[in-house]
Amino acid sequence: MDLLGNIAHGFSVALTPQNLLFCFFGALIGTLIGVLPGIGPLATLAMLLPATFYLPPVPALIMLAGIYYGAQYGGSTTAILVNVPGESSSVVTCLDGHQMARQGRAGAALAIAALGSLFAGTVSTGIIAIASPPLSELALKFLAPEYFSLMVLGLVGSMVLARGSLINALAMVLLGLLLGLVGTDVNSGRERFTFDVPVLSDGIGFVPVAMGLFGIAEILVNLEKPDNRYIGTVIGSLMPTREEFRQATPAVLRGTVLGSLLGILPGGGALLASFAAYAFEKKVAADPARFGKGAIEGVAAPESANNAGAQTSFIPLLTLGIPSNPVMALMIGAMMIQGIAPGPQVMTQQPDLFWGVIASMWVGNLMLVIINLPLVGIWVMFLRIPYRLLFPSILLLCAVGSYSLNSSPAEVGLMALFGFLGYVFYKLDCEPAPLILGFILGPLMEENLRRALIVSNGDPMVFVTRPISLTLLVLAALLLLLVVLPAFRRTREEAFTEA
Amino acid sequence: MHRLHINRDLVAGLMFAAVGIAGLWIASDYPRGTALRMGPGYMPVMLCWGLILLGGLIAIRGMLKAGASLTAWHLRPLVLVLVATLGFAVLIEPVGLALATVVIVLLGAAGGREFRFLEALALALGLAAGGVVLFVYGLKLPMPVWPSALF
Repeated sequence: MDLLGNIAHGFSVALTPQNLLFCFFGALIGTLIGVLPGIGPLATLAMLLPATFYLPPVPALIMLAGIYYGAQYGGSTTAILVNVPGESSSVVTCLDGHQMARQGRAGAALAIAALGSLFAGTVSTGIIAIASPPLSELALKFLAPEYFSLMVLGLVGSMVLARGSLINALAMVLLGLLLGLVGTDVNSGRERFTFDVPVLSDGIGFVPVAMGLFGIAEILVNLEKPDNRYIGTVIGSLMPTREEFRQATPAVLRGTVLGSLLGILPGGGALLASFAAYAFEKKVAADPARFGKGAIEGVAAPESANNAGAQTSFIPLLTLGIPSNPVMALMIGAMMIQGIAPGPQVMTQQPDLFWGVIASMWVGNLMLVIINLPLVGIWVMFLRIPYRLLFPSILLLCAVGSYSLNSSPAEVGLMALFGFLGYVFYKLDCEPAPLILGFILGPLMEENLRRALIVSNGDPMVFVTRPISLTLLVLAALLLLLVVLPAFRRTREEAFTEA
Repeated sequence: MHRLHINRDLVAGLMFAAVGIAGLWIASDYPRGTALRMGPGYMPVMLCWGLILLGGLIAIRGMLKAGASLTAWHLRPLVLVLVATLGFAVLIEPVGLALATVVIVLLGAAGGREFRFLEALALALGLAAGGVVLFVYGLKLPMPVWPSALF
């Protein structure tokens, strides 16, 4: 069978000593930054991106991918032991994971999180391998109207899944789209909203925007709260009891399915997968009152889901060339550095890269279980670093990351500006995630809207007369409708207020 | 009868609307074009009107129902962390990574809840040394290490 041949080819690429080594580096760095709260895959990738120039494409992408899913493993360690999410996608793991730690079951929680992630990683690697070829095939039929409608679907998805009010999220999307248009217009050469500032003429870089809104703003918000972390020292037996296994297994399965689906959605990824999985788990539980008091399902489901989501969010990137979140936008940057144009042609033109990276994900997951479980003691040491020493270091890493990408001091200044804006948004309950997606997709959307309307002679019906485009728009409309339905609305609000 | 609530929604709505109005004003001389041949002003103008509309709705909703009230800003971390970052931006090219690191770490640390000068200084020097080794010699990121006047 072709699929097996492709996977075998992928493993033959992923298992070369060089690629194994970089996969290990990625997993190791990912775990480290996952454990450390405040420094995420985004800042790390931004810092490592210029260095990947010296690497061949396959090990470079294998390492960068490893950092992203590796961070999902590391993030759970911090959530369980310290009650602080090491990674934003581990926010819900704190709820039950930390309660388990207080009851002396930290080891079991860590083991279930890691094994659940491994299972989810295995399944989602398989999903990527199975779903990508037909999707690439389909994507080759995509013209401007389809791309535009797909991005509309992605933006609607990010709004529905953002926390807080839907209309605020829509306004943030528009603001993001507008920010994305800053710079020189590709069609007319006209500079828009640049105020004659040189750094703006090529557009605002998304690295300073994303690191400002997430990295710097998070420091500002954290410094308002007292540092009262409880560090669980007793990890206990890593072996979950038979009863814990029995409860966790179905939760892992549900989390994996939900996470894989939500990861594929443009605008999706690890973060919302974990939220949705926790909410769902509570919904189907026989006794929802156990949640928040150390229910193992509350660890198993979101941790499986965030890893599954992190991996399947590579699907839109690998098959369509569309980034579904800022990390994927950086992966596109990494491909461009290597001279590879992301899109449906990657699979046929760069089979080594495509299948090698997919196979490396499974290998990386296996390494991560070893890095995280037996060696958990090493990571605990990092957790003892007090925040007053940690945050200046994070600040430095963000500054170096935003400077080094283009050797541009002005981008560090932009990052400070967006850090300030991120703080304002936090104070006003405006979630920055929809803004970031709008910002990334803004120029792509304008370009595809233009092209679509030129092809159709200015007739906007082109978006509904082409079947694929229509399907995508109907999906977007259904998604919006779903939120307006009272039952779903309540679930959505519940899911977000818990975290 | 409701009192006028100054709450998060009201402020957020006004913020969105203000951005929209400013955007319209700036974009007023960008050629608009038609749907068939969009000029550089087409999308910005549509987005700005969208922001004004939504911002208005959010603000009105904020006035009508009691939303979450505004919380105080903590100025010390806000100012020091941002100044530290800007300081790094200004200093990195003229004085190099080592000194810029000391500045950003010391100023940033001063924005924390408990600031211990000697500890922060030790951290700054340690990170400067580690940063130079990691970024410049390890990752080979192109950036000056020392003040250019020295060489």
